[in-house]
Amino acid sequence: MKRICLPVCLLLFLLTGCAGDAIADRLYTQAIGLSGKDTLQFTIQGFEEEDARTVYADGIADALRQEEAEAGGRIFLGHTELLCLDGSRTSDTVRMLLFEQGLSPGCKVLYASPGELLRRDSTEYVHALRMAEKNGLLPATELSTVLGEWLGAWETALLPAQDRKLVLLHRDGTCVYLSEEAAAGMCWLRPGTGSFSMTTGAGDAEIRSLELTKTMQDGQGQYHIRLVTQDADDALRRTLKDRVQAECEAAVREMRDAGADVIGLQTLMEAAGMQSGGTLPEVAVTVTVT
Amino acid sequence: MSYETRPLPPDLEEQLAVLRQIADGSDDLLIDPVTVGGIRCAVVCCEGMLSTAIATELIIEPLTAIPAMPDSTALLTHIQTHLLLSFDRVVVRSYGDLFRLLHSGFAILLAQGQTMALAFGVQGYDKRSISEPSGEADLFGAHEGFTEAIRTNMSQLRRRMKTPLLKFELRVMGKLSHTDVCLCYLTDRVPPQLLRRIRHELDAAELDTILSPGYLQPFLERRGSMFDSVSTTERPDVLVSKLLEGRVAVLIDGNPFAIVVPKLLVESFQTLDDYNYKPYYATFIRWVKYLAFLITLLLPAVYTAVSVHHPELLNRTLLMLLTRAEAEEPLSLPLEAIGAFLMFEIIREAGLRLPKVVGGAVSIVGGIIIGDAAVASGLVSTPMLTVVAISVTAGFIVPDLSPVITVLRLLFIAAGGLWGLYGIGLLGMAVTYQLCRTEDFGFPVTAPLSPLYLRSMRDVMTRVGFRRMQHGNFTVEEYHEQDQ
Amino acid sequence: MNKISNLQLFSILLLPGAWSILCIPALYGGGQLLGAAAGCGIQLLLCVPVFALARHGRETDFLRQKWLCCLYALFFILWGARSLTLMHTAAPRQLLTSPGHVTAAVLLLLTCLYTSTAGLKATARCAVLMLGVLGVTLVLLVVGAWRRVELSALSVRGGFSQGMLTYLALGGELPAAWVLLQHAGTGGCRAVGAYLLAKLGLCLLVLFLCITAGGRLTSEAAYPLFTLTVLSQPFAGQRADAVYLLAFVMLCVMQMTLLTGVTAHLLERTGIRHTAPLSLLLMLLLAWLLPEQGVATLTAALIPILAGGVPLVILMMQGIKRSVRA
Repeated sequence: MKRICLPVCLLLFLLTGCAGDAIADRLYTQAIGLSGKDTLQFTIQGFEEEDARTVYADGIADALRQEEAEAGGRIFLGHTELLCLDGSRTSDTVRMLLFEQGLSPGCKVLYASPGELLRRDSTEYVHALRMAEKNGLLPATELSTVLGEWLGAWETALLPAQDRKLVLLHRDGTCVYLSEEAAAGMCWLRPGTGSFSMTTGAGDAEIRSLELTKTMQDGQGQYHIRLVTQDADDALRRTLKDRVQAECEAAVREMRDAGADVIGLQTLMEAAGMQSGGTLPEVAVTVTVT
Repeated sequence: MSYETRPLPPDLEEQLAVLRQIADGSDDLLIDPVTVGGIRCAVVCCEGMLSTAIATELIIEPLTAIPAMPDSTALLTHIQTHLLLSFDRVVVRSYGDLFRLLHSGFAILLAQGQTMALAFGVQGYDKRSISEPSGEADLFGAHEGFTEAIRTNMSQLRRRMKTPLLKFELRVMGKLSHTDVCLCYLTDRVPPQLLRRIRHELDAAELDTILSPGYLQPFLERRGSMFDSVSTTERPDVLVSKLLEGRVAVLIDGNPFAIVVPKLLVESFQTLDDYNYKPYYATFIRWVKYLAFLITLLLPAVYTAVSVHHPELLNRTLLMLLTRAEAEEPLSLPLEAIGAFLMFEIIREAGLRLPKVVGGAVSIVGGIIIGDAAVASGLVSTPMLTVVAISVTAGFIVPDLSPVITVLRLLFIAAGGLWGLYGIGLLGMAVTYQLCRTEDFGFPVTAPLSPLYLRSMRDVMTRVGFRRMQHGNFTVEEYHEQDQ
Repeated sequence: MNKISNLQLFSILLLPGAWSILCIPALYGGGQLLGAAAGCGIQLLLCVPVFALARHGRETDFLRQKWLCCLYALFFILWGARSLTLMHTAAPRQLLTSPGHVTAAVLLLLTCLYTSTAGLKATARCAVLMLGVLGVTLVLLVVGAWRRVELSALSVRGGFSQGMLTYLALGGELPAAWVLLQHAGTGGCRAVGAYLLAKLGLCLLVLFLCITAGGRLTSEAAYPLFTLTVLSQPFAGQRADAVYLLAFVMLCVMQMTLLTGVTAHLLERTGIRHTAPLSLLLMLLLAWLLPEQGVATLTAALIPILAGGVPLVILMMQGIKRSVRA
């Protein structure tokens, strides 16, 4: 008798339709934007939607509830591709989104005003960001990387901004734009895995691979970059070496001036038994091109 | 006194009177009085069960040529010692034996003054000729299958295994049917305790009739398990390969399927064709079957669970596709899945039961019209129908596990729809436990995976060539464990 | 209970051990790996009395007195209560949004009620099959996390003593090993030793990935492995942590089934009936009533006593008895 009851109850329960939200009843967000220090301005744009919606709430949970009421369905953040921040909301809010609301850890983070940006097609922008990273024009800046940097001793993260600029954004919302040279230097100091081409004064160079080794010696960070090129002559290699060296030094200089560590110095310092936080150590960058 | 044990009286008239009384006027009983060697006798047979020509040539003519005998004892002695008449000769001493042999196609010779009779096997009833088995298709295997006649089946095994180590043990089972049941095994390979226990279980079975393997299977396998621990086969070549591994086969007169004890789960993924292909291809096909099993069992459930509860696992493009497809569906995804599978089961069962002439039409109606109409009307979405189709097709690769797969698939869909991957995980554990506790006479169904026998992996994870397998001398006794 | 093979004993112990490793509570630094190794060494030392009993051909089934059986049963009930609480707190909220935490617990208990009635043989066979699932899960974990690995994070010192204590506190399977050893036949001690080493290997792998691939996010998270599964993505642009839910559930069921099985076996020796449902009920009750930290501390304190202390006393008493007889 018991063996019959269980399947029957199961079937009855199933037939009531209590099987969770239907797949089509959810709003799958493509991009979200956070703004507002006291009152959260929460902007959301779904896939295959042209317009974005903005709500104002005290916190994320309230904001999501309001959005769901406006959208008429559950908000699903697991496929979000772009997160726009203008600096007023940083690590705490982002952390909550990642761990409690299921935001995708691989979504790109962008320093921009959410309201402006989300009026455009986020798909193209996300693809552009990804391509720029592949071509070495921007360092990788996923949500997990950015959040990890905010949790570091200097509480500063490197974020891409519009027009391929880079910005150092502190947890408290202050930001510093990096110059073009420093931004290029950051791409060398936080390399991706692909190969790409670039134009120098001595011609075009094909970068096959980039290897970065980091150590700490005598209280000074030692960053050695090894570039492997394809069919590059001596002149081209020299030009490339000088350019990379200059860009890296610019990046390190502006980063230290801003009091930030976005190149992994903290890990090296902790490994060397040094106290992290406070003044950043000197960093020496050497470049080898083969 | 029951007729089963009633002895034959010495008087011929009385013998025939009792015979008629027991038969109660059955019109297929033929009694021919005849004088053989000067002694009053009677030949009794069952109409339609024997070959008239053979009976006339081998029984009637030689009997009538017997010279005069002093008495019936001398007559029967003369017949037994000087006349061959038939290879199959049995001495009958009771009416139980008489009727059993009569209804098995024997001609019975009763003699005046004798309390025993002689039975001669002259069977000539119509039976199906050896043909290709309906299921268990094989490209390279023999195109012969078992038939309903047990002795024909025994001969098919004997032709393939000419060793005297192949032993047949005939027994009669079924209180009313007196069905011939034959235990087949290789004496040098069968585990003695297995044979002993099978005999004990069959002795304990009190059935009126045995019409199919399903009547005996419950006595030979563990109670309460979804998974079979005994298998059936219609192919003599397959049965021989299993006998070589020390298994015991049970043949049933009147049914072309043989029961094989014990069964291992991995056998459901092995066919005779595997041993005809090169090892690399056979291994590839094995893994395709394992994958197909997982697909048929879990794909609909995982699809349902992921779509409803874990859409982050889906690729974005696929997610948008599914969202668009499901947008207009009136039913929830789990209900859609269950409904689609139930519809398939109805069509499949209908196709099985209908006459062949109509069966084809059912396939067309069910498959094309209903399927197309269901999608066009919006009751079932195209992605769901695709998942159902893939799952069902994958299930055809392992027909042996079809009943289990059918039920478990629905349960998994329910679990996935209700509780997502968590539900699937829990149900998966429960099913795995059920599988792991299934064993037959101490032979676990999950062997040789668990308990793990590395040597056996050469025919489970891969299929090594016969050059390496020829030195195996493997028997199932290696997998035997103490009973729980 | 029936005889099980050495591989089955190994699997039965390793899978619940793997679940404990999944729920490792915190990261302390690169030194934690050495601490875990030291913890494993201590656990091997705790095994010496029982290994000595086995080596000298003496009976390893030392749980004959009722009070001993009750003590070990109580430990397993507490360990089970701790596991239930962990399932509630360790698993990220979004993994269990489908059933909800209460429903998830009820479903788990119902499943464990069924699996614990299947018997030791079925559990042993299932454990060997689940080893394969564990292997696939680990491969998936490594593949997902590999891109994020930064070896320099390992050089960060500190965490040796915390690592050692944490590892010792996760050794709740060791007392269960002594209950199962009598059913393993010869070579059971080798299986226990292999389990300890395999568990250490698993712990080192998990710690390595959490420290090197998780970065600051895992170093500050409670239950860092769950955080790592959120961050590691085998597929670009998608969260894949729900996939680990399958392994999490399976390992949790193995853990609870083992605990229920050994508890029931010990309670039967005291004459109590319906031991399996009773054990599960007690685990649920204690999980609900007792504070999590208290249970964790109590079980951590009992592990060395039950794993090594009690067998040592019994070995010494046996030695004294033999010398008195002589």
